[in-house]
Amino acid sequence: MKRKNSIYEKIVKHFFGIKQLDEYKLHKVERIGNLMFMADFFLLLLSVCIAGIFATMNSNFEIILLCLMGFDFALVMIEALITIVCNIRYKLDQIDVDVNSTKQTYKKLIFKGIGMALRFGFFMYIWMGFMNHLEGASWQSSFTSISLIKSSVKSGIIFGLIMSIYQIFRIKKMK
Amino acid sequence: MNRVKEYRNRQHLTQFQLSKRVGVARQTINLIENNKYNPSLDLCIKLAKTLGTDLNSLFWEDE
Repeated sequence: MKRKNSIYEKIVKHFFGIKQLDEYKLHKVERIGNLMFMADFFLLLLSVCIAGIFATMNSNFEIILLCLMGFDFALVMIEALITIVCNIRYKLDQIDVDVNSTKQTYKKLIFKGIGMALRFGFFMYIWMGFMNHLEGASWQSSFTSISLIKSSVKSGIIFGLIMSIYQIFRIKKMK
Repeated sequence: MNRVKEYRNRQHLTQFQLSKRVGVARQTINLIENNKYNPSLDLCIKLAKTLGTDLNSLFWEDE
């Protein structure tokens, strides 16, 4: 009987791009999680201490905010770096494909890439339109501008291409 | 050294085929065969059943 995936396992698979989550991969994912937690904890503690020092020196609110945002950005970057390095090292996202079904897998991955491109392009369109509106443009003009549509399509295509190429490199043909 | 590779070859199975039957990734089988990963008891039992043997002959080291 096939075991049903828990929500935790589904999220882990989606986050790390793992196709089949077995005990070895789960073990490694938990190790990566511990690494991330330690890095997060240290950076958060440091950011609070430094922000506290600025606050006691009667500094501007903006400086404290900038300091916290800087640490936040560093935190996200370090997490991304840990994820990428560990993923490459442990080959967590490798896709083993039977030689006979390689073509179907390529097709699937290309469709997946197109789906990603559409979602990313749509997200960029909404986000940039919203940002234009915040800068003072009206709702209509900010969402119907040709340059916005062009840049959304471009970013969608580039993102989709990069993701498709990345996914194709993950394939390992098996006999 | 365990004898997973030996028993797998006896059954004329590739790592990929064995991994499909046991329900793990191929890398896991590869790591087990090369003694780079200690599988759980549950996985050991699955491997032994799939390869038609018992845990002793698969994992017990003779001195």
